[in-house]
Amino acid sequence: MKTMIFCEGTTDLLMIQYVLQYKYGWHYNGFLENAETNRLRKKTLKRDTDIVDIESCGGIMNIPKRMQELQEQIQNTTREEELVNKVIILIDHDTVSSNREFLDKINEKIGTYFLEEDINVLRKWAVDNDFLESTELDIYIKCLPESEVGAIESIMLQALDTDSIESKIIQDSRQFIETEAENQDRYLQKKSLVSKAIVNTYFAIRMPEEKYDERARILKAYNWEENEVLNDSFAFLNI
Amino acid sequence: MKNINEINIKSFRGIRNLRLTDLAQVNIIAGNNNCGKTSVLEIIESLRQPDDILMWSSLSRRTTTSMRNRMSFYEGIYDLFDINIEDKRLEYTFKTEDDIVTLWADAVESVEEITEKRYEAISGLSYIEKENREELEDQTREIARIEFKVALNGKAILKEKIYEGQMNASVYPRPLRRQKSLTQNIVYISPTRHASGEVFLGEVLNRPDLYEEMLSILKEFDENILSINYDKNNFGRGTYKILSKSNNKALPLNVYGDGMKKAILLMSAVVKANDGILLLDEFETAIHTSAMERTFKWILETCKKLNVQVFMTSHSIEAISKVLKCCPDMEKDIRMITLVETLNGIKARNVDATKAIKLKEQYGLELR
Repeated sequence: MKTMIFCEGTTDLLMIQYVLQYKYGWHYNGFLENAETNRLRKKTLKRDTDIVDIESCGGIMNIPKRMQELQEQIQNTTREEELVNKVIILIDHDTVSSNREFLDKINEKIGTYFLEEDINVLRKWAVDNDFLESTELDIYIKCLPESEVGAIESIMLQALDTDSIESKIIQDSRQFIETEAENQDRYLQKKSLVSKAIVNTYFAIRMPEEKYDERARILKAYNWEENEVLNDSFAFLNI
Repeated sequence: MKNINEINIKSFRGIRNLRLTDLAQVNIIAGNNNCGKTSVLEIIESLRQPDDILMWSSLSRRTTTSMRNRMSFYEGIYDLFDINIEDKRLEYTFKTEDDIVTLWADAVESVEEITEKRYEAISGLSYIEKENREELEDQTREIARIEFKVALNGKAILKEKIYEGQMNASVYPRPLRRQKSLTQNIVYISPTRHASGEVFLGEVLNRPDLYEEMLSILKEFDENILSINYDKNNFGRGTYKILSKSNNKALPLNVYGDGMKKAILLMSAVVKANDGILLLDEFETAIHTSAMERTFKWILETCKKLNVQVFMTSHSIEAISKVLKCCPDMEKDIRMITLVETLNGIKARNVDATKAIKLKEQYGLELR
């Protein structure tokens, strides 16, 4: 079985990779990066004969274009073993209307009719293909956090809030960033950016020498596999 | 000749209802074994002289040197039809910008009583012993036969009887006038034809510009090559010899390696197919990877120059990739056709070179 996971950025990609590897027993099987910018684009994991590709799209509005390319890929697939069986899209909950806007873009690009009630629910996506018997995929559009506005970093912060010291650092980081956001209109104009800035401030205090993309290592310092917040939020990765 | 832009195959061997559209100057045909790649080439080749039974004999895949093991002419013709269907009929249509050509052939089965003498003649085997000849040759036997009829655009152009066990196709008279179809200049190159040393250098030696270009490419095989010449011996027979600084004297082409012979065969076949059609079956056979790019580039560019439409089959992803990329200016003139066996028969995925490269490199899809 082959699964594609599209997410907005590298933080999401690393988070998903971590959960798949350490919670659900997948094994790392390679990566792809942009040759010019060195930006991490994709990581591949394997478990028995199953494959999952996690792709960072560089922003939510690039995901519909990738979905259109996936549609083209499936339309031209001639072999069962090349078929993608499931696609998962992970998006932040930027604003109250951001989900609706995102779905409109997806529907425009791939000719579907997804509604807001199709978010966080497993659905089917039928793709035309002249060669294979069935090209209907499972599709799961996951929005985190589910009900409130925020970003995947909001979940991370909840999960990191494990004792009074961590709690204070998070609280102080949040206060600092939110104050900055309120007092000017140039930066941090989206809720998701505020969440990312809070996380980055926390990590700047927690591990100032570490580079951004090595942050996954810190996650191993805790038993995240047993963390209720992460397990609840990422249960959709039990593919 | 205007390029064929569409082929509609209603029935031919195991292919039923296959449509190949948007055909281009260069068409690469790939797919699993037994999906019909060579059959597509045979269909195109049948345009050469559809009113000549010997042409149909050449399509019938009887190539083996052993008379004992060779398939009979009867079996070869019979196998052109779908064996799973009782009604024996071939039908296909070609479209160009200006023309539509429909070819169909029927095989009606029956039984006929013929004399042993006649059977000996058509079977191509001498089996009646001399001492019994007078007695036996007038005896008769019942033999299965097919009445093979061919029509071009509805007009009957060939009608012959073929008997079971018949090995000999040359008992039929040759057509007096060639039936006009799209083109008669169709050159078919099998995967192993180069092994016989057969080439079409006569055509190339009349084109100094192309001859010079060809020599330049042959330097990939022998950097000291100087020229290719036709050497006629005292017995009226001739042979092509290659003059190279690597050897003390000119050597016959036959003593060179398969790669060199294949490259010369392919390049000379392009020139021979001038304003016609070139059919290359497993075109990459025997050519080393280091020589592929230059050889294929020359072939494609010269096909465009000489108005040759090419249909080529391949199993090699390396060779296919080289053809797709060797001439960036010609990407719109190249189609990648993958034949796929589905529950509803054989279907074709047909994309241009740019898209084929995207399918392979961006999506990781198999082109073969």
